[in-house]
Amino acid sequence: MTDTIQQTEPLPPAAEPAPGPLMRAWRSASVRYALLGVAGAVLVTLSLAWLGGYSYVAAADVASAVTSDLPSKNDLKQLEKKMAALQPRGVYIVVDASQNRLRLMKNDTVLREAVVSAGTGAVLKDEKSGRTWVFETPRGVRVVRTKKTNPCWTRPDWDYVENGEPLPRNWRDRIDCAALGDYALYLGDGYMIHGTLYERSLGLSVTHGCVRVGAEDLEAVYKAAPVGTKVYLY
Amino acid sequence: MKHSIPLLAILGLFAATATATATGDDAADAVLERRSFVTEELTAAKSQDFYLVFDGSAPALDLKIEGVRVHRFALDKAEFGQSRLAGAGQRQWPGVSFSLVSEIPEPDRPQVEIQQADETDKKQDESIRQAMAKGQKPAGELSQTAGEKIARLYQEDNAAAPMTFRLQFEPDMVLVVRGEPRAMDLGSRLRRVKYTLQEGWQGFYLWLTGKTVATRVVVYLPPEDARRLFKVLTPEIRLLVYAPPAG
Repeated sequence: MTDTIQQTEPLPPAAEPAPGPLMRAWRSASVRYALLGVAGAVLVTLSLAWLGGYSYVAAADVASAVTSDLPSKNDLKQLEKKMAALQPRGVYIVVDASQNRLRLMKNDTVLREAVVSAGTGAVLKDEKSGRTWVFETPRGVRVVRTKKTNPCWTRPDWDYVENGEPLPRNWRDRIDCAALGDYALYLGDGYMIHGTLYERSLGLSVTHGCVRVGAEDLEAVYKAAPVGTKVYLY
Repeated sequence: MKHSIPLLAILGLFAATATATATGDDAADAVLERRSFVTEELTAAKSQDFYLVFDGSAPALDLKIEGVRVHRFALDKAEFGQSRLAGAGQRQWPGVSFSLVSEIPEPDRPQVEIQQADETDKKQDESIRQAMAKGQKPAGELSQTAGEKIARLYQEDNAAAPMTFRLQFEPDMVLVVRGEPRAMDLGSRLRRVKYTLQEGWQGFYLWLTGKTVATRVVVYLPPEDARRLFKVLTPEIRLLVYAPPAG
């Protein structure tokens, strides 16, 4: 038996796969340069953004700027005493007018929180007289000036204008003993913390600037806050 | 061994003295810092205007008036940034008290529509009011007031307040408020990248044009708190920085 070596014909070289459109584009020098240019531009832009950017650390790790030219009489203890003297002694009231919340506070502790109604911030224009009113709850600090049970309200002009009613000739006709609920705490300039016939609107900004409180909360606030209580409205 | 005991004693004494000096320095720094801050706060408190206190250690932004805290904005994160080009590295607040110079837009004020209630409604309202004034339980319900009709507009105005904004203070400092949800989605992440790029280019442009690149504080808080913070800002509101020494 003899081995025979069969001579076979060499295989033809494998046909190269047809280049895809991306490869074809890459082979074109102009496209290659354009792509490299774009990549370079992106890199430069990002580098500039990094370079021009900020180096951040946690704010707690940053040293304070101490002013060294403080008057010597300003002893720290004395200053702390002055600061402490600013704190209200008894209870105080904080009104968050945009969230319609009232908090009865003492020593930074919330004693009671109530859902209330504060001013709409809206404008009323009386075309006839040309007068304008802004119904906003004032921001800042006020003091409970007086307190009343079963308070009566003397309806101001704007209430008639808003309701499309003529102004009464007699001031007695302006008296409304239902609108303010059972209690009112007067804050000056016509602003009050009072009750309401419209408890359905508590939590909404619907008033003309006063702070309307639900009956139960109002009673608690009225009993806890004496005349002179500070009211912080923001 | 004989010689090493006095040597060790001297070294020990030296170490103890160094530690005591360092502790003493820290305590003095703390007193000085506190004094600077309280002096500035007293001035702000006496102004009877609202002011903000940034407490980096909490971290929180407190809204105060007359020294009384009326609202605390708890921050998720607070970062202090300095421009790389302007030579970042000096980690010190540029001041204790700052004053807002950015303009605060006036709120949109809706106009009250004058009520044209019909006579039946007016009569019913009046009978209800009279019953309530007498302490009786009224029948029926009061008609809708002008305030109730526009309450929705107030809520819309609140919801339209920005949740990301930049406040310029004097002396040169920028407070960037970023209202972001705690669980960041892809959209929030992309917005943060976009913001970082913009911040970098802006910083580079300022540096190129020879302008001061202000120290920047970025605070992160939930979106609704950021909107709320925007609403409590007043023109030229003061910002005090309380930075007690770490440790």
